[in-house]
Amino acid sequence: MSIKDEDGLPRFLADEITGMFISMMFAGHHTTSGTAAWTLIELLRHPEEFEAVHRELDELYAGEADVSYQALREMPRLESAIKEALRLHPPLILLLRVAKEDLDVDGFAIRAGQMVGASPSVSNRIVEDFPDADEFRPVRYLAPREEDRANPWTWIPFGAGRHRCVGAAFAMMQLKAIFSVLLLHWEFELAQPPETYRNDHSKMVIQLQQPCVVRYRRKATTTPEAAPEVTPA
Amino acid sequence: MRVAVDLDLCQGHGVCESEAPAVFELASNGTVTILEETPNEELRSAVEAAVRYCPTSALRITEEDQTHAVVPTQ
Repeated sequence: MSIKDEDGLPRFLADEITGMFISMMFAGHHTTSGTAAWTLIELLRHPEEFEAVHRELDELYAGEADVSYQALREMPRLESAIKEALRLHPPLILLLRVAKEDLDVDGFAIRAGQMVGASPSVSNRIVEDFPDADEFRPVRYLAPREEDRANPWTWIPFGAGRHRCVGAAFAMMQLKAIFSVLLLHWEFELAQPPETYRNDHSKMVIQLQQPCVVRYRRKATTTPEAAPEVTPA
Repeated sequence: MRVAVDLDLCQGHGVCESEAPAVFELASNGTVTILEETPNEELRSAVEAAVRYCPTSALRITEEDQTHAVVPTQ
């Protein structure tokens, strides 16, 4: 708040700083919780992918040794599953930008100062960039395809460019930590027909449409205690 | 291999410098300076880590050596 601009006036107004706090707090909650829910749902819908993630985590956490930062940064199977959940179910479906200059985009005139919306829901499913665009295919992020890196302007669950999500790396690490703990101790199964899990787009903030239920129980190796149904979102 | 940075995206987090200090240096203005635009092959894994973990996706490997297999991007 003490930062001054070139004329010696406060660089940020109180409501701008308040807005930064609000956006930082909101930006990291429903987005990550929705992505955790969707990752779990998609893995339950695709048992072979779930198996690959389980194997990766079992190997990683097999020894008692500390898990390195590098190991957490990699986790390619889990990371790919999260990325694919993000591609198919981006928590933000419209990103707004202001045009800095006059542009012509496929015959549409965009004037400087106009607001332009880019939709991750649409962009993430462009079939030229993402073959089988409507299918859950985590393998698309493994070498050599790496379709997120190959298409930085169309794979946009975190946006792109100068205003790409500031919390992207944090969110990915947080999700890996969540699944490391969840999958170590708990088993999950779908508790409703697979196709009935969907987003509710009627609110300002996208959430999973209720009911959204999976069944979980503690793994047999720990306390054999069945748990009730729970809503993941 | 040739390395390029989009300075419009670079915010000076310095992840690249910690991954490959021989190739990247954080300049005094807060954005990266590429010390070695065409790093040797032995730096490949470090440079790839720098590109991969750049928090703003500002780095690219733009061009591969003829002798090295080019990974298709599409």
